[in-house]
Amino acid sequence: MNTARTAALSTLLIASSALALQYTKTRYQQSDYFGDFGQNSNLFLNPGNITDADQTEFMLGMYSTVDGQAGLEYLSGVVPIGYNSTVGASMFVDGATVDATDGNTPAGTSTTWRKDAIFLGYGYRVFHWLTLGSNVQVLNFNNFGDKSNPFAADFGLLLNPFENSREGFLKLGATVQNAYMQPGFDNTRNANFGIDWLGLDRSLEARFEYDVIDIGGVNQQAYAGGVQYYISPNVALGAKVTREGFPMLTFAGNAQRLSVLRYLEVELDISHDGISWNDEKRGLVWNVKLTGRVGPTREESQGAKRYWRLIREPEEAFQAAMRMYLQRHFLESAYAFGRIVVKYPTFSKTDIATYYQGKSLENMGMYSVAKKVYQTGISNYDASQYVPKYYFQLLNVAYKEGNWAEAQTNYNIISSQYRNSEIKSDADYVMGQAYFEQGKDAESRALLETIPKDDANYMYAQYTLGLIDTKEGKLPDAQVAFESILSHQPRNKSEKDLQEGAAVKLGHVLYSLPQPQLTRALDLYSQVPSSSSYYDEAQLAAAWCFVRNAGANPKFWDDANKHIDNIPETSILYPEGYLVKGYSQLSRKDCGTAVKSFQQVLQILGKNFLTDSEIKKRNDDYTTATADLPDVSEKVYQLSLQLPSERILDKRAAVQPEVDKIQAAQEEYFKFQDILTKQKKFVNDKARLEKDATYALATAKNCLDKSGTSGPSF
Amino acid sequence: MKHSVSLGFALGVVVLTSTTAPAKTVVVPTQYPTIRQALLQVEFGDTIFVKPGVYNENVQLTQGVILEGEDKNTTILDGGGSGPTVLGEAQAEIFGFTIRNGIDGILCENTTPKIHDNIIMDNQGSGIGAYISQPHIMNNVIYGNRWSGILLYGVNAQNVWVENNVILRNGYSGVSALGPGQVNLRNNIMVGNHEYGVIIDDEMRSNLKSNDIWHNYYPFNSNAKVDRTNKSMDPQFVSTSPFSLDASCRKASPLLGSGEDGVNIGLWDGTAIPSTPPASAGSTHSSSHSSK
Repeated sequence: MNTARTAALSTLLIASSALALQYTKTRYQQSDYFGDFGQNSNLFLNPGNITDADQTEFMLGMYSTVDGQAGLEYLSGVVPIGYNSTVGASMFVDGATVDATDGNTPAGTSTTWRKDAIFLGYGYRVFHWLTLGSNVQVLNFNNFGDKSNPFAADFGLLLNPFENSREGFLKLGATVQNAYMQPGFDNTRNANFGIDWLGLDRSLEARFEYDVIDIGGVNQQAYAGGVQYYISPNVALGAKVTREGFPMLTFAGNAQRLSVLRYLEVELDISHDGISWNDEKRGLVWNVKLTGRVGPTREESQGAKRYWRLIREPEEAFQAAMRMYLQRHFLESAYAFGRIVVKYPTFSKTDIATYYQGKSLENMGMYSVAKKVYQTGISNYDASQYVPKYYFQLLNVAYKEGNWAEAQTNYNIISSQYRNSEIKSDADYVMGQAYFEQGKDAESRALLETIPKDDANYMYAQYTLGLIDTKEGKLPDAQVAFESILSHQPRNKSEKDLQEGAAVKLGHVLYSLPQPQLTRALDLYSQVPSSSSYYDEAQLAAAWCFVRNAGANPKFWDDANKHIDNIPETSILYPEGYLVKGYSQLSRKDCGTAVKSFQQVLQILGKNFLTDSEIKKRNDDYTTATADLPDVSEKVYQLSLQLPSERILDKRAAVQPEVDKIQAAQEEYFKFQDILTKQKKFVNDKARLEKDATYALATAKNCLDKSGTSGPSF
Repeated sequence: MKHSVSLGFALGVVVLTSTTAPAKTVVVPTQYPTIRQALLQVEFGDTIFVKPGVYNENVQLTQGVILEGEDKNTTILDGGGSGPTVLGEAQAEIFGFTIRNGIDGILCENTTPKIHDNIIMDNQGSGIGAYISQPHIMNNVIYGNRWSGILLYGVNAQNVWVENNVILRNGYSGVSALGPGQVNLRNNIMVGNHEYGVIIDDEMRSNLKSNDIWHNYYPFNSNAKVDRTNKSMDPQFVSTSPFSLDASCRKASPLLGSGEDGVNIGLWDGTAIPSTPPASAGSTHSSSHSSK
């Protein structure tokens, strides 16, 4: 096509460029008798024309001089930028050194006349049917020693009513040359109107041009026209008439892909002065033009730009999805990762996106669809290093669901097929926890003890091992387990929380040893900050440490009371704290206050935190609120696999309230589970505390009756 | 009612299951005046059926939606000289249209549509531009586009083929495969393109089987792996005139039945024509083509 287009534009230019019927100041190229410009120099005629170039081009034209010698007439080049912009430059060389004749120059010397022009042009395709262009032209004007560099500007537009295989490609152009002229520019203002047509699979070209030279002055009119036909893809023949009235024949040949040159065209235009209207006795006249193209085409450069954008696009989408995930916007991240999976199936991180799509759903409690995603990952990315991770997440979901059989199945796959994978220790830990929660302490211990010290699960495993050891009465072993947790530097809040728990549990172990280490235990309890969920337990345990030695040193009762005072009334440990306070009062023979304290303990113990009906109601509320969870999960999953069209976005917006409602219910229920756990502990401790309080109350009453006698020692 | 749509693409890694509604067909312009309006009303698995007419629209396909024109010669999508006339989308399908006058005729970016049985002509850029995509392109006539007929950039096709297309008279090459990746071309005809019939970039691997590459400026470059199954002969089209374009081959064309597995080189109506007469009973010609 470009071959043909080049020829077409050449025709255009050849036919249109003969502005000078004879030398006039309207032309810079007095020696270019044909006024036959090349393709890229056509910004001289209409700066919009250069947008037709789809590749960097350069061009040079040579002409026959009056004496038959060849001379360079012009150099020009264009560079396409983006899809719609093109810049160009042309330099017209024109000048001569002549004998001095003006009388001011010494005889036998010469003087120079030059009128070179440099054009800098810009064309912009506003719409496909409309192109605008502008030139700035600077003259290097040497009028026999009188030098100046004036400039002027041209403006042009092109209309492209149609471009198709049936009707061809039609261009209508209009230009005002020298629309603006700096004083001293010494030229005329001209108008140029052109019609180009290119058709028959771009093999036939025709052009007609009409010019008005020196608008407002002599208004000289000129016409030009021509046709050119490609008899083969690389040979064209043409005929034209220039503005000077020269009939010309044109021969053009081209070749493509000549090493660096992607395209090269040679065009020869010939005529004879004798057949022109104004025979100036020049004889055979000719004009040769060379056009070369280098570098990528506009298609290639635009394509490369688009390619690199698209290379980055999935990575950017992945990073954006990951940010949503890390910000715990799990619904959005589920959609975003799903989009990556669907939109970029060849992206190198699609397996990871699948993994996090599953985790996003899992984190929203949508276990059924999370499992589907992991299973999809296993089947679609069977060579991925994320396959063991998919299995691990399946194990994890099964653990969360309390589905021990499924957990065991997935664990078995990991331990048999992926025993060397990085998630093996994670799997050991989760399965160890699963065993622990089933009461299978031996199995749990067997797994948890295999977790190495440098593993992220080590501290957590040791905690559970410490609990098992404590339960089994292996206090020295429990001490070692908890001590090992405290010896680590916590890396995050979770590990810090774990350490606080371990400190309290270790304190209990030290308290319970045959040779109690109360000072160390007290120190550990004191390290637990008030913000910790273990704080109440630590305060009560610290109080007990003092109570334990208060017999020998009654001052310790005050220390114990200080810790008890730190336990809020809402705490389930508050009754036990009150019991300790009663003991303290009793030891000081403040029997009346002690009686009230013990009665208070019994009163608190008489009522649960939650009644059975309250518990049932909360459970029923949760069941109702999450009844739609399977359906909503499936909707979210399906929507995550559909690219976000307007319709899909509407659907996502519609499902959002349902998701929010379920998530709110889940969060509420999670808090409720915590309360229930405390309730269970309260109920478990209730009998012991009631017994102790009842006995203490009787003792206090007895003390009150006998007022003045010393209380019992504890 | 529950239905499922299994994606028939080689990379169809995800199976969507609609649990809400059966697949439906909407008709343009009977039910919706424009294709764009219809696209807002459909979802995965649905079909938009478009009656003959000129639709001056730039259309963005929707995932899993089939866009079907009644007659590819008279059901015309005109891009109005801006943007891609059609923007591809994953798992979408388009057939039965003349797609013209966009910058690109069909643009696929990171996506996997199925494009078949269309006429893609007179676009101001590439006929089909596929970037890091795996479109299944078959049985199209790709004609007279300003740049390449099909530009495959960074395409890494596994089992996806560009097949049975007629790619002619485009401004640059019939098929340009640039960037890294893999392209598979079979049973296509590339004729009269103004640069190469097929040009393959250094980084691109190619697999060309049973294509007819004839009368382009150059047939193919040295990177193209062209084996002896490929041909260079006059396809004997019924008509390549833009006024009566019919790029199927005449009955006497040597390309009929001479493609892989006995199918046609060039447009193929789905009827397998044995490349050699079955000499013995039971001789069959299997085909990997699945459409129609």
